[in-house]
Amino acid sequence: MNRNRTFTLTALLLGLAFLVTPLVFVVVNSFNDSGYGAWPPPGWSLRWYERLAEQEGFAQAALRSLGIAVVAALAAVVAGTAAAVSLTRFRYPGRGLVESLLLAPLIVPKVAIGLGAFILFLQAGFYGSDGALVGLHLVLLLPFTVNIVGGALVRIPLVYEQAARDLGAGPVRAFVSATLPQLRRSLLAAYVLCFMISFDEVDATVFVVSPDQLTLPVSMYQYLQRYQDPTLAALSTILIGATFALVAVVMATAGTSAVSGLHSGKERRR
Amino acid sequence: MVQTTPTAPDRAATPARRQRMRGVAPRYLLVLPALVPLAVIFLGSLAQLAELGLRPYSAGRIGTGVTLDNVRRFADDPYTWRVLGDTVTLGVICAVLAVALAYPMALALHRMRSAALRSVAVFLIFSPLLTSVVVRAYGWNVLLGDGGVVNRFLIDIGLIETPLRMMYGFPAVVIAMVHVLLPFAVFPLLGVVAQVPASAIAAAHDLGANRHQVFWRVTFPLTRYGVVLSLQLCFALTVSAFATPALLGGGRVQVLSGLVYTNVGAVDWPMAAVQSYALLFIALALIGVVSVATRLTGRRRG
Repeated sequence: MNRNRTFTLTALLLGLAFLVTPLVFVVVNSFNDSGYGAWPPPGWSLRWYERLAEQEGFAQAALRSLGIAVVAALAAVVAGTAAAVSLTRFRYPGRGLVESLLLAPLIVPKVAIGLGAFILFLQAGFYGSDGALVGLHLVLLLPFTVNIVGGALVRIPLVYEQAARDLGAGPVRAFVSATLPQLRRSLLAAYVLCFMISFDEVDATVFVVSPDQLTLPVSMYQYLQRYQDPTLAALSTILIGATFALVAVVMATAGTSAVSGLHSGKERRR
Repeated sequence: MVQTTPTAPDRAATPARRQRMRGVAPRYLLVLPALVPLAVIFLGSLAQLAELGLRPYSAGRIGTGVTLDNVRRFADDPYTWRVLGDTVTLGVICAVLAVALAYPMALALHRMRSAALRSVAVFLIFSPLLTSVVVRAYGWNVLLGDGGVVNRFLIDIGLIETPLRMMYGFPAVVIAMVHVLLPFAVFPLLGVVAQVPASAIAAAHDLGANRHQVFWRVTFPLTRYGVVLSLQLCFALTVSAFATPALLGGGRVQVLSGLVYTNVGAVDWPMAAVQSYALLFIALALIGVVSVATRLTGRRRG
């Protein structure tokens, strides 16, 4: 164990502590009897959970966010995978341009996308519809699916697919039977990541939602601006529990590579 | 390869058939499902935004026609320039801090031998992404407030006497932003760190390099691409972040995206559009500068 290793390991542990600490305090504070998050908590209570149950808007917003995230993530994975196949398997004029365009929403500030989409939807008469939110989220999610699935695709050897073709399978069938099964984990990882990004998206969504169409993060954002009591901590604790359970299930079924496959695959394509 | 002669003609025919079947159509058809929404919604939004920014605006009314008045109003407002400067400063600080912390974390993860420990660490790095940025802002509020956990702790151990002012200022925004960025910074780095061949490092050691030399002359140059990617992503995410600076800056830290939101509320949409484009140009400019700089340093290093 040299000093080099000790240094990186210390950085890792500090980083992990830094990442987890606010979440821990959110959970603890949801049971804090004090409304001001006094520390250490003067007592324990469930009243923030009771308060949460009285807030009707949150449940509705949660359902809407859930629906949008499920659909937008699915659309992003399907469209992004098709695009990734095209980008990794073919060379053609304009390919670089297509790739840049697909990754551009990552670079363009979300505020610009959000405000532009707001004007666009207003003009096209889509403002206030859930379809508009799905479309906006789809655009924001595509770079992530193209990156993850593209990164996985270049690592999968073509020989299996070629063998399937030689045995008489059509191009679609060869892809579906030879390559797609090897993509399973990356697809799952891409879907989960997209789902979570969509479910949590505020920066662009806040411009596009109509007041009677709030998503969960937007209504939480508005609540936190008005009140600072631990009602949000109670809601967050429920969300943290639910998402941790979801990810635990995903990691148990797909293995950790589902999560470690999340790094960008772009460099491998070069 | 199988050497059966009867299949030989088939084999020869395969490339030609493959060429025909693959043709030109699939490569374009396959990108359409992604390209169409991108062209309509993404490019459409940016086009609408550009058009809006060029509309005349006076006293709460958006007129028709084309004018550069809004660009002039933007350029003439010293406050906007100050906010713009703050936004860029915040972006650079947060991106550098996040990547500086993420790099050793990625290295440690890569070197970790136990698969179980490694997956626990990956899960923990990943875990903030499972929680809303709004929730995390609340969490930092609890931690960093004047009577918050950190201040109470520092006072209790006698390190300070009066609470540190961290909330509603640059420190809180930076801390919370780095928290948001860290997972996004680690994952691209993890990819490139894993690609550094162990043989290159071993060779450098054999040739007598010490660990600093190995790092700065072998490991780091080989991972530069991931570092640049991480920096760019973090910078872009920071300058466009809206909720975190608004909630933790408490109005005292103003970023350009916050001004955009305020102007949308004040129905000065053309100004909001111009400011959005300013943000876009900043992001593009920085990415251009960083790319050129890495290409130049890369050439010098050979």
